Amino acid sequence: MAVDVPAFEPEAAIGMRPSHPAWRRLRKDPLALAGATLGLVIVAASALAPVLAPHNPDQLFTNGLTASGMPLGPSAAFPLGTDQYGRDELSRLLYGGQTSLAVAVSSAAFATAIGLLLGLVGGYLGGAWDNAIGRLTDVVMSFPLTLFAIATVLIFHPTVGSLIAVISLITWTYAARLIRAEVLVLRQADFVQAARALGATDGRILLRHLAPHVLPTAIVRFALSVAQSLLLESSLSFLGAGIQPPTPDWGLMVAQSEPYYATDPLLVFLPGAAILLTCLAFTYLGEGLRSALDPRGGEATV
Amino acid sequence: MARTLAARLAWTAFELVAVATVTFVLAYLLPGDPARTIAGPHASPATIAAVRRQLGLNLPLWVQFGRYLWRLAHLNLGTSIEYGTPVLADIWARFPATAELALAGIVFEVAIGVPFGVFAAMHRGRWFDRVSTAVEFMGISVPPFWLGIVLIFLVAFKLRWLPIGGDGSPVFPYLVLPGLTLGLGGAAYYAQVLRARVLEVLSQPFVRVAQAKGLTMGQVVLRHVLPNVTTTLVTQIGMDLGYFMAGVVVVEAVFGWPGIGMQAWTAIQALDEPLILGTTLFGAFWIIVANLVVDIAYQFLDPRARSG
Repeated sequence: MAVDVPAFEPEAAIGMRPSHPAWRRLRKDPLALAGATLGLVIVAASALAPVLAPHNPDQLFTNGLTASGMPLGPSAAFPLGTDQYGRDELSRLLYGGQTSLAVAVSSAAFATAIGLLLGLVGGYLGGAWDNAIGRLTDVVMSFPLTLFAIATVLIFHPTVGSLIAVISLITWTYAARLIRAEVLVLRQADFVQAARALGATDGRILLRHLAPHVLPTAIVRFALSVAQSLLLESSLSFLGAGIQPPTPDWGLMVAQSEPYYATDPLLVFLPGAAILLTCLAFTYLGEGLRSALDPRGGEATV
Repeated sequence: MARTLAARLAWTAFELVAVATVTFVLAYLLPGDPARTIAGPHASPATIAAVRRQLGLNLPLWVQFGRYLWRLAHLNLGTSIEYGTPVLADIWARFPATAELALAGIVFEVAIGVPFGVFAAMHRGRWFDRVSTAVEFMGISVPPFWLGIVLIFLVAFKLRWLPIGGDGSPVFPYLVLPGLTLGLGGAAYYAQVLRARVLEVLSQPFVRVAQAKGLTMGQVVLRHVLPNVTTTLVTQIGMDLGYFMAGVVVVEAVFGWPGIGMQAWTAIQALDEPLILGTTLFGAFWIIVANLVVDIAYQFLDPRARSG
């Protein structure tokens, strides 16, 4: 696939010099590099779907089914064959990536932002604020994730927007816990005490002094959260409580081709493999960033 | 100790009420008029109004909420729209199947995850450690619904080693694939957690002493490291059991496993809201109780936790 892959610049994203030890560690980590490359290829392929896709993903081809109405295998016209409605499988996979990634990345961004905010506020202010936020986190975590997501998605009707809202509102807890734990340590640090002694307001200390320090953790959590959100989104779409047909979506594609697994295993295999590879890419990248950013050269501790 | 326990129990009660409140709000926000649904599509406005009064839907919201909590306290989760039977009875009838699957999932998690984690820690930095780390991330990244279908295709359909799905007697062959699908992600997670914990214990001075006495690595791990990681393992198993008892909708749906998750999935398609919300509440109950049990068990298993 001739994909124009833009240069990967994590140092720009994290604000690191190329000589920074963390960046050097990251470049030596084969799993992190594999994750970054794979992730870029998948994101680029989905983003460039209008250019790369050979057909309109929703077009039903009359010549796209066998005489007995079964999906076609790979051919020159349909590189990965057709699905059960005679639509081009490759085009649906590429456009499906747009839907799945849009939901996963936006949910992860919102979840991380909520977690960052609540973790900062709870960890820094402590006392009743911290208690309330901690208890809220506990309550949210005690819900069975999938069932709760299904119930809420059904209430607000399954659309891209409601999916993003629900997934981010039930997965922010992971980021909040991590950030809070870090802020609890940081707020005792000399630079925070110094800023306070100089008369800095709480808002200024939070924004200018604490937020930059927990940003790396937030970025790691974001990468892992993309994988988590994608799994949740595709599960919901698989169960019928997510993206609705005819919109192409990886989880939905697995569900729709499940009845054909015996005759056309490729139809089930491909969208699921796309989910697996995307999650793997973001997990490898996230874990790689985590150990690279840990000054002790720490390993994945989950 | 007694005071900590009382505080912990009070918090559990609060959590249960909080979860019930959220479910009540969800039920209230659900589109559609329950009275209209129950009265049927051809009911007259008078009938609908009568049903509304009967359900108490004409009362102020806080009164409805009070009655809702009262019903919950009497284990009344409402009536399923589709089956017309009490929701709790429906859930209870399906629960043994879910419990079986949950146990099978735990067995796979432990049987695969523990040896991998311990062995990787014993050979830190060697090829096994590196390969298993890479593979474990795969286990965490695989979508369970897809893994289930792939296993059905390969093991049940192509090789014909195991049944394709459903439930039968004896139950064991029917449990293998759904159990494996459920447990594989957790197994990968267990392996990572255990590897980290074993490495932590291996760095302790008493391990040095044991090694200085001339014990082999295997003996050290078996006698001195494993007893120290049981707490971690038991905690994790307890929490997973809670989550699995909440019904794993996706796995049950793929394998046609007749548990509460499968029932919830059918309820989704029928938009049977009392059954969906009842199952959510039931699942939350298990998770909260599992957390409580784990917290208490922790006090007994780890003497260090008691003083702190």
